[in-house]
Amino acid sequence: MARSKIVEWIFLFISLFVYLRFGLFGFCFLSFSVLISYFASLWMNRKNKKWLFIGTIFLFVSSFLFLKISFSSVSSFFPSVVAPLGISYFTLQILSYLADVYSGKIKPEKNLIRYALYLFYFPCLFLGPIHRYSQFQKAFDERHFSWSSFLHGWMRILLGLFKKLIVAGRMSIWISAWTLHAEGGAYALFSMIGYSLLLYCDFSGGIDLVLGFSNMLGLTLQENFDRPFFQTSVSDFWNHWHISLSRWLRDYIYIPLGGNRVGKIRQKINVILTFLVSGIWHGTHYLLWGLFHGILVSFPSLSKTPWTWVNRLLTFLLVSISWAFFLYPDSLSALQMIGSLFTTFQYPSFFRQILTYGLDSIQIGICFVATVGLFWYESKRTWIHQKLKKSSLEFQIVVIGSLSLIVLLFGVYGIGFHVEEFIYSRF
Amino acid sequence: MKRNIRVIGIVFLFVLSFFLLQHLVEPKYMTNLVEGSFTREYYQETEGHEVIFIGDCEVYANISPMVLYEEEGITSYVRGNSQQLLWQSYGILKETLKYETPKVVVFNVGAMRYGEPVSEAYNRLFFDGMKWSREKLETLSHSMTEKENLFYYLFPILRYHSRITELTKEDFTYFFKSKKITHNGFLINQEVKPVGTFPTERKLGKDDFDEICYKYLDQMRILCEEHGITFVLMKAPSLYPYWPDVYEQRIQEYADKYHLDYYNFKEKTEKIGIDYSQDTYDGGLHLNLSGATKLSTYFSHILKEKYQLKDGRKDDKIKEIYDKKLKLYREEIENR
Repeated sequence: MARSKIVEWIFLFISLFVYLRFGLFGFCFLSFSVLISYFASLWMNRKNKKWLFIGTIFLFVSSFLFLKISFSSVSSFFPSVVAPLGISYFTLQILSYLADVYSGKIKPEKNLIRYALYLFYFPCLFLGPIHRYSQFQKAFDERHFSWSSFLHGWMRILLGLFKKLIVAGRMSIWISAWTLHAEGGAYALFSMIGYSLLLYCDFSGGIDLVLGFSNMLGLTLQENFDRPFFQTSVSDFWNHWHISLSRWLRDYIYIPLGGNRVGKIRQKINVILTFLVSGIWHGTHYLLWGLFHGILVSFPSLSKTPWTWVNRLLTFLLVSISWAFFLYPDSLSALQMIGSLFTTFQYPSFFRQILTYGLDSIQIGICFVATVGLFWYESKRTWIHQKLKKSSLEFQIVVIGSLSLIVLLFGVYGIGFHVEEFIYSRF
Repeated sequence: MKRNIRVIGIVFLFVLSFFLLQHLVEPKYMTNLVEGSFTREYYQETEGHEVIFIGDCEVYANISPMVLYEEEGITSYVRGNSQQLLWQSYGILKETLKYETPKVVVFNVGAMRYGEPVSEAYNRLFFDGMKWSREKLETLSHSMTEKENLFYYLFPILRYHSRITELTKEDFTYFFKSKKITHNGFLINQEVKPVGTFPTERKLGKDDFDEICYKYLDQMRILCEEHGITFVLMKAPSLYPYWPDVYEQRIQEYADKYHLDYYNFKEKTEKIGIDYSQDTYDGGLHLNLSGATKLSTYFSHILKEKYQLKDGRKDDKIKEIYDKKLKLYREEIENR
């Protein structure tokens, strides 16, 4: 057997084992999905491919909706039915694969092992990124293990842990305390801003772990974040935040709806519809969130000023405010909290009690320095990476060693903390 | 070649930094939660002992090996810790027998009440100072609570890293050195708090100990048999937690079944001379120095008479060691 085939088998075997550990039902369901989509793609070369395509898409979308979105109501009747872990990631990849085969962009994969590996690749299980089949196979075919990629992967993992354990870990303590204040105002504003940082560090930190681990194995996967908080419009923000989902929505929802090839009004409606789909994908509770972003992207002048830094700040604030729908239990409370930003202030009392929200002055200092350091790194990322690439092995080891010690000492983890949980993995 | 040496040197420096930082954040157990140093102190012993006491706080607070030596020349050590559970007692006994073979092992049965791990904090007090061995791994696997995992013990930095922002003078003072906390496992406490009222007794719901407690009691007994050691049971005269008649009956049945000696000192308090208005530091849970001295004196005569123990005072080497120990013991009592 060729070496690459052995590697494929090993990767698949480990991935299947990981999936199996999370429940037999989910494992069987996902395996069945792999087989159905695999055979459907092969049969799409024949006649009646349109109906086969529509049928399989309907099958996967309906089973996804049944298991994921209506899960809470279903579970009361069928307590044993739980949504398989990674079903969103799995379904979106299957849909993109079938759509690409149907449109002729790619040829159906005849090798079931390679196809199964595309869907089951376990590092992406919790958070993605959502790959296209062609991208993943390219990355897999071009994989090349070297010490350089190993060290690079290790650094990436440490960066992910830095974001997740040092910044997100502390932010989550603050936000848990702030959201308890039902009166809103300053508490709501800082919860929303804090949640922006928390979600970014938690989600992109998790993605760093996935990409870093893949790097260590010699695989270079698609990036999912590219300095989203440095962007000057909400539209740009979406081109740099959860890039794989944004592109998926663009290619499989927005463009099929007509994209930019239609009139201006229809184009704006298409954008709003795409964001509504994005909202529904996150859950029915997020429809208003999707609408909010759809409107901001359709009407960019609403959040545009002549000054770049003001635009950057405005984009950050608007995006932060929109997280209210993620932060509060239902849409009504989210709207009430957004409303409280303009009616209830409480800034003096908020700052007076700053040391009573679970972080003492040293912890606040660590969080502040880490956040500033992180954003400095992001602003100089390309330069830093170039320097590191050219630097000696000794220097790279010093960087890895220092980062490891920093994460170990200043990370928020251990008994009572669930570091294995990622906020975004529930979507 | 030079480059390889540089790389190895840098890696070594980071590994060294890792262990130094790990040691820095670990609790030193010198002025606070001193029970955490009990397990470790045993390894400083240079000579074996005639008697080893095993159990929980009912031994380290109530039995003074120094009194046993002063009275009858008995060399002994208390291997007890707070809330030391049966499987931990078995583990520590097994470990002790790797270093020495005493003539008598006395086990305090108070811990028979507890059939499952109590809390992570007690586990840390017991394990943090314990040397790595098969016994430690086995005992850990039975002791860990749901939240714990082995890595927290293998690499304490994972458990104590948050102390980096809470370091005190103690962490630096005792970074390279430590001071003696106990006197052969006995912790001196001279405070006086007379017996008061205790919380209402909880309904036990059963009239026997958990199977797991019997399992480890059996294992301790068998281990002693295998090593030719006399296994003795005792119950310290603590008034709380309660020791109901039904428990007393079960232990007595066990002792009778295996022909073991069992001493319940709670029933002999008058004979020992314990005055609960003077001889306890926490209202009857544990004896203070005065109470422990009375109990140890009383027990020393029994041990000497019944088990034909050697008089260490007649051995020059032992006498020299114990004279030093006694000097420190008396100094601490006087300085308090």
